Amino acid sequence: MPVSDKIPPTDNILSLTSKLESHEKVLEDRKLWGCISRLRSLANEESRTVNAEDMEGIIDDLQYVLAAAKDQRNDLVNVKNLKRIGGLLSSAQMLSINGSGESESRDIMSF
Amino acid sequence: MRAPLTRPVAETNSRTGGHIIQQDRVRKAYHLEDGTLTVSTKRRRFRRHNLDHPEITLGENTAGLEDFTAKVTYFPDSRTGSMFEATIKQRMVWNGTFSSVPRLQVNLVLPGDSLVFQLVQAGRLADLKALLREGKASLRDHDELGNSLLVVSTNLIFQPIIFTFDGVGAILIYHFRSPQSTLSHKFVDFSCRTMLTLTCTRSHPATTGMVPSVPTSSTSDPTCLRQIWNRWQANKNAAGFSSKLAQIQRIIPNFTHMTKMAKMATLPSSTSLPRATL
Repeated sequence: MPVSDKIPPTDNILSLTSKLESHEKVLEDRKLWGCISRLRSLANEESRTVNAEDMEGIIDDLQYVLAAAKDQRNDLVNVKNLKRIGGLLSSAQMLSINGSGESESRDIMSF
Repeated sequence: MRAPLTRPVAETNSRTGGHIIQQDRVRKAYHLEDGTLTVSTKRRRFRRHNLDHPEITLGENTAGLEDFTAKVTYFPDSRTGSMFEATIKQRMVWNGTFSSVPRLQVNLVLPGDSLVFQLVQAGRLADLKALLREGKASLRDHDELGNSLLVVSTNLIFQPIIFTFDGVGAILIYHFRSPQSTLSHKFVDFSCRTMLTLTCTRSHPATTGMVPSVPTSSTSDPTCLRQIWNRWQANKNAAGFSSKLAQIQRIIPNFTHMTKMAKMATLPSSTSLPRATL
């Protein structure tokens, strides 16, 4: 059999690549949606502070959401900020969940 | 007797320990499939002062004296359900860098006409406490615009509106109702990498009361306010300026009149400019 018969036509390859890309995009979107849903499900959690082991999943979810934001815009300044935020989150040893509103009241005072 | 050189810890925090010399705020919104992710950062550089003698600056080299605050907020498009906000803070001082414990706040989002907001707006504390006891509301509830109970209690009427003018700066307008039921607006001018807040209240004497106040950043130069104002005025013929001004006028009908009066009457003299502190 001639070699050319074994190679699928270019159109088929492009269509296959496009399908794979869209499949990856759907998977990424699903993962992002999953991360956001998991974070949103913490609404009924009591105020508490968790240590590095317990917060791993939460930090991973936040990092994924940030990465999705980073992919959306190629703004150099903001990518730098997003990296800095990501770094600070990764290096944190504790995380306060649903803590007091001290920060917000301070924001309003300086409003 | 000579005053001690050290002060209690509470007094030596950044609020009393320095003056802001530069402030950068960046806010970006990312539209995701079913909501909006907003990343806002605030970077403040400050100059330390001798706490016993505030007129003495401790060195002009301010590199490293910096506060960095970042907020990552997700707000659903559906305007109900829940939202979350992660806050991260970092402070760089002369002898090191410190990061606070990151905070994650996940709040329920309720319709703006919910009972809890009505009670807060009316100041009915006893009823609010009863509602909280019954578990029908939470102190973390937010309305469909993302306002917390605390913000609702200050009677902000709606979300701030930002008008940006290329090459000039931006004007940010807040509307809020004071306890005396007077309508007030707050303008923040971000031109020249500085921030100037102009507050006007319609009940102010002569109904013209646009009082420049709280210059929050690099305004150690007392003429800065007037420079910002002049720059703002000089660009009023720039492209797009008039249409945006018209939008502002639709919100505040006597805006131009107030700005003229502010220029003539209320710009502070160089000696009365307050110093911005952290």
